[in-house]
Amino acid sequence: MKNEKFLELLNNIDDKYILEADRKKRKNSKRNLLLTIAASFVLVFGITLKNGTINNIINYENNLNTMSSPSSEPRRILQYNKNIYEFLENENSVKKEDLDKELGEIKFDLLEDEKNYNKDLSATFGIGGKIYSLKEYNKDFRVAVVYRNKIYICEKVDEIDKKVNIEEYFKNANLINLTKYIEVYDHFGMEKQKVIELESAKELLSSLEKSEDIILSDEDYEKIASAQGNGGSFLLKAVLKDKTTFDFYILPELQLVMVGDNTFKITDSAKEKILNLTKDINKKNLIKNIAF
Amino acid sequence: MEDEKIIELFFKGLQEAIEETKKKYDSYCKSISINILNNKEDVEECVLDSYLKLWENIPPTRPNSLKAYLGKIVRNTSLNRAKQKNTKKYNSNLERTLTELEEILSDSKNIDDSLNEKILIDAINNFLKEESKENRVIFVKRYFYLKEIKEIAKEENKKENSVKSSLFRTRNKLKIYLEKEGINI
Repeated sequence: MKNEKFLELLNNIDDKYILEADRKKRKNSKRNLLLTIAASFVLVFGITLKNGTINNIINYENNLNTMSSPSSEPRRILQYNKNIYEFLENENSVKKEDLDKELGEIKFDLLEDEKNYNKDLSATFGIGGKIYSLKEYNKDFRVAVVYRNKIYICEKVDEIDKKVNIEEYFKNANLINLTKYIEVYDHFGMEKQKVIELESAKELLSSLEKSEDIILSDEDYEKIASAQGNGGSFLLKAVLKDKTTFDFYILPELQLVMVGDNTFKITDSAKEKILNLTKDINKKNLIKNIAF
Repeated sequence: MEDEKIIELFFKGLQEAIEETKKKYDSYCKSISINILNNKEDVEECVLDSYLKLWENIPPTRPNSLKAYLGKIVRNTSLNRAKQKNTKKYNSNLERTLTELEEILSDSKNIDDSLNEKILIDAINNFLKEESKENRVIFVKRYFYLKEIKEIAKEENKKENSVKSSLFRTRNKLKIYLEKEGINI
């Protein structure tokens, strides 16, 4: 084949890769952007730090909203073993006896020096803290950081070099076995709307595992922002056996699930399940919580 | 205007469809064409031709992504124009891109001329799926969008050498992948 013919043939590259490559990386990379947000103390929508991140980043990146409000602290993240983790808010919910092996020490401050962005054992918080695996969790889901006599759980939200595989993530998290039930909240986590009991929760999680990768366009981001403001997005808290929660977002009509900092397209059957599970929720309850 | 609405305008046969497309994607189209043609007049003509092709194709085609579909039309139209005018003689970027792509092509004389292009492009798409996002983006920027290495480096916050290394590795990996798949191009 001649090179010219080959070049022509590359016209048939999958649309999603063409769109993916069209996005100009901002001056800051995704992680840098995340850190910029952290450093600037701005948290779009002013919601709780935990797992509200994807929405914040999306909306920050696209300047889609005007509902910013100041937050009291930067986003706390840790980079270890090519994973990006977020510090959960519930420090000391694990005890010393829950810790397993020491994995390393946080050496590099991500807020201090740009050069640290590519480094493992770096964080925006807890420099000098020790990272431990947890007896109950795979380290590709959660690790612990012991810092100033407190123990923090850090939950994986992304990977440094590639997109998270949702099936692998759910398996590593052992979510289906550990979940006792799921609480459904409005997008902003202000008010619990209902509880999904064990069997339905397991069915839902199993169907979400089959979600597919998706590359979002600017229009998708606009739709997401609109859904978040119009009751089209739910915060789901899977309550695990140790009483900690695993939080994620579902936007049924848009057929999206947001896990950590990644968004996936849910299957038709998962969409049907979640629509069915949430049909008794009064949309007015979801919208009223936005006015704060 | 949202793409879905623009596509609906095409389906209704309203000229507004072209105007809205132009409003939204004109700079995107030109940025693709200029990398291939390197001549403003040719670019203007090619982009206009592309809008007409879009008008002719929608309907019946209903693209999943208007942007990607239009991008492909612009790229194809521009490559055809480049071929007619033998543009590579005066567009060094195009010439370099073609030289780089030669590395992927087989040295063998037993090239299968009857190779089904669909099989080949499916293999390339599968290969890209397995690649890291970083390498894939650089590859597509270079060989679909035909961007200069310098431009890619700037957009990706990388040194030019890093971009070159990434492209070199990806080309080699693609070559090996295609050979393993029994595709001799």
